[in-house]
Amino acid sequence: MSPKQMSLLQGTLDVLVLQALAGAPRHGYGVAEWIRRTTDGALEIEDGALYTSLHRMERRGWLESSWGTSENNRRAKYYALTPKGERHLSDATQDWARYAEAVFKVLATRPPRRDGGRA
Amino acid sequence: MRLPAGVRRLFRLRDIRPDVPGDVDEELRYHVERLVEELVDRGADRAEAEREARRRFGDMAAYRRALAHIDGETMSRRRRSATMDILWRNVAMAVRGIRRSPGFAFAVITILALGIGANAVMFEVVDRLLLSPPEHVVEAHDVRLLYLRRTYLGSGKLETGRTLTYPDYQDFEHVSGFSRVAAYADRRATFGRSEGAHEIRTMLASASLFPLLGVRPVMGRFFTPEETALGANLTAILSFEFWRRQFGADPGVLGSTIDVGPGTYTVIGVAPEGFTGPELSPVDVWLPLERSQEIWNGNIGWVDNRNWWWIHVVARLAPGVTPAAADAEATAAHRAARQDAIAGGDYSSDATIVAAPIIAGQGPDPSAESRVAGWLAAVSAIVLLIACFNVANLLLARAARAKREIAVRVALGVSRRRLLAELLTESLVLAILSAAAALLVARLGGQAVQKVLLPDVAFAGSGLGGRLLTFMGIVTIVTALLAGIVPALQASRSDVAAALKGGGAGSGRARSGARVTLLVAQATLSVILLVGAGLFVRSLDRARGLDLGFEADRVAVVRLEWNETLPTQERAALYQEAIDHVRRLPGVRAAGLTYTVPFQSSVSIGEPRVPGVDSLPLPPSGGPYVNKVSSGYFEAMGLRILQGRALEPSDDAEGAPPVAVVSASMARGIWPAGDALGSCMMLPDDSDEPPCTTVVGVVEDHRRQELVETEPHWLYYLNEHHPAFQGPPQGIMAGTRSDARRALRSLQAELASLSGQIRFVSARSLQDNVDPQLRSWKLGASMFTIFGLLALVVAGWGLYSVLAFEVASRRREMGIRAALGAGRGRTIRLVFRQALGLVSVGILLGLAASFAGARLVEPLLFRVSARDPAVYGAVAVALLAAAALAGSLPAWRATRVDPREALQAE
Repeated sequence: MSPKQMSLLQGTLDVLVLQALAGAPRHGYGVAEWIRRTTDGALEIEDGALYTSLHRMERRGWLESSWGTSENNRRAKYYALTPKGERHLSDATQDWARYAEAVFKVLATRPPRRDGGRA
Repeated sequence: MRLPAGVRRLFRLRDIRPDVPGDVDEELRYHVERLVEELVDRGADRAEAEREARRRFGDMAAYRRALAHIDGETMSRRRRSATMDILWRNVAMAVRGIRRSPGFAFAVITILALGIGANAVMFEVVDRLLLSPPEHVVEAHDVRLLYLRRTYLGSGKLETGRTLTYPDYQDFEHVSGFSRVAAYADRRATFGRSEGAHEIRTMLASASLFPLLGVRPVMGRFFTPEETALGANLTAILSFEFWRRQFGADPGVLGSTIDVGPGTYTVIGVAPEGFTGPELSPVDVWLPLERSQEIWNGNIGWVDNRNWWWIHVVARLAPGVTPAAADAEATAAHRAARQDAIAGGDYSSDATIVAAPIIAGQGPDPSAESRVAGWLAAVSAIVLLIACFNVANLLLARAARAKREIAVRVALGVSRRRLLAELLTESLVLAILSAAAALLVARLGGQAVQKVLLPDVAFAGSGLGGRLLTFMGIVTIVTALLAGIVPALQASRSDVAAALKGGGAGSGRARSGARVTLLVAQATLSVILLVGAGLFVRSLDRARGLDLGFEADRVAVVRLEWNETLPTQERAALYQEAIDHVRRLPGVRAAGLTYTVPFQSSVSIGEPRVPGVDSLPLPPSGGPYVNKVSSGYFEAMGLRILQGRALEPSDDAEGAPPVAVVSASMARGIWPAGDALGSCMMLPDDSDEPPCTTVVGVVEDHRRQELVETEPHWLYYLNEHHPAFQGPPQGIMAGTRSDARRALRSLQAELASLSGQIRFVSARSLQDNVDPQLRSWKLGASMFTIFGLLALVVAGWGLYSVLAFEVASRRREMGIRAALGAGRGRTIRLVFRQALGLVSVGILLGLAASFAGARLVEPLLFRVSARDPAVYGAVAVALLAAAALAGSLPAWRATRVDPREALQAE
């Protein structure tokens, strides 16, 4: 991926991760699984980028982490939303909706005809 | 969403030093393992799966580093916010505590504000006198005041002084160790003419003074060397404060002319605010040194006269030169220039020049005020200690009352360390509030002290300096610790079980050793302060009541200020006319003309030759000092004639035979057989056979220059037109019937209209010459007394509160006693015994400490032994009385205990 697309993905990735944790606390692998399932494999995320996103959001106070026992009885680090994170998620969701709506508006208009004839 | 309960409990453990890189590794390992398992499930073989998993991850090592770094930052942020939370919580708790008991808080804040404020006041004084160089001096550590140290030939005493002669100053200009030298002299002079004319403080300065100090004018410029030279046009520089006061800070003041003393000067510049030259006394106008001295004296005899002592010298050290090296060079130059006099035995051979710091308080001849100031700073520290101990006692008492509450909290799991932090925060909050109040105390108190007790020192204007605020900040923190540490430690170490079990009656029963110690300490310190107060008050009393010989408050010194062009004969004639008018005033007993004024000026013209006496046995003070007076002088001054007669009007006439009246000590010294009258004295003049001056009277001794003179000085008085002495009279001494200060107005009014040649009539009481010398004792007496009384009140109140507490906590016991029929007397005696017992220990310790430290304070006193038993006794009595007073209310309350009530409670 080109650098420009990576940074765009980072912001988008944060929102996806927050959404992944909105239902229940998960560990990093669980988040990756959930995103893959929910998007039917359409979005492929580099694992390193995912963990960077998780740690960064913890630093910003949107997530809190703790160690727990996973479903296969091993020690794993779980992440959960903080109230601040919840607020950010709802703001970001609204922003995304508006953004997408605007983009679709533009894309939905008919382009002018390009033949040599009179309009 | 909340994390599962188990997870949260684990989360709390995480605060203990987490292993960030290890955690990151473990987290990533889990992910990789899960991925590998999934791939294996899908059919890949293990090794392939692992490779794939790592590939999918990306650059493992780099991510590991990045994640560890992010986590590190997360940790720091969390720690910081946790600390802030704790701090905020403690402060909020402290504020709540204060609001719950406002009376207690008010008492604490008042006491601490007085303690901190007292220190702030003294800090400003000490800073100005002992620590800071004068304002606007650049690189002040290289600027040095020059002192002359020599053994006076007459007295054999080693004296250090700042006054030098003009030729001496010129010698220093060739000293390579000094990059620059400058001379200056301060003078009081009349500003303006006729109506509205008043005295101002001027400083005569050489042109080199301003560049030497590095000061820049705020307007215009400073003198050029041409402008200070003889015969130059008269120019002057205004001080900032004078410019503001007299000219309303008019920006167009440059070029205008002002009348100062005998001259009219053109203003060429304004000095910056707060500038007072190399010394600390305020200056109104700066005048050119040589030119002004020329017109003031009417002659230039001072230019090459090595016996005309009138200027001070300041020098800047050349780069890389040590003061010692400069001293050596300057001394050599000084001695070389005077070698004839040294060889001839007329000048001390051990004369040394000392280049001392520009902070005069640090030099070899600090003013008495500087020395007292140092002591007072220590005193204010003691006052603060007392205040802190007092507050500590209050806090202890409060903690004792709240023992149960604290015990409950400890039982519920509050850590001791947290308790300690809370209590110390409370002390700190109280201290900060006190410091804010202290600013008010410092402002008011500081202004009072500076204006009343140190009027000759210019303090930096209004506003709080950075140094003062820093000092107060440090003092506040120290105060919080001193006052709070003992109560906090005690409270956090309280015995939980005992406190919970004991209930109201049991708690606080045991005598707190800490409280008693603090009380005794307060009493001790109060004793020390009061002893100091007593000693200074006695010194002041002694100094004030000193018999100076003359009656200073019944003598007015009147000076006429002339237009500069008036010839000498006319000046003398006008003085003659003036004194006739003065003698006719109803409020005046007698008046005489004089040349010198006690405590102001003296002249010596060398030793007279007395036939029959080989060498005069001069006293240590040297001399003899001469004055030229008219008849009426001795009566005006209140000096008694012991033998022979005073000067009479017949002696005043021109051509009258030369006569003299000698002081008693001089008569005793030269004519021990008592036959002074009729003897002959030959005063030094240019001829080989000076005429005989007949001694016609012997007058009582008086102090010549200083209160502290232990031996009488030799003085003799010549009649008006004595040939040995030239020059018009310099003043009229008018003896008044009542306090001289009340006669000044009428004297001025009477003489002002005498002649158009008189620009101004200055009149002051002779007491005004004496008063500045009382200042150091006044300063010591007032400050020690204020601090001592403050300490006594605070300590007394502390004692009262402890006794009241004791009585309150012993109510049950007293109730039982009363129920069993014990008399009231017993209870009262119990309370008083406790009070007096504590205080007695404090008195003993305090007196012992004063006794031990006596030698240190003795040089500051006047004719009072630092171990004066009267003072010690009075202080002991005062403290016992205070203790009795403090105990009286609790004792009275103790007798009022209703046995039924007491037994029922708790």
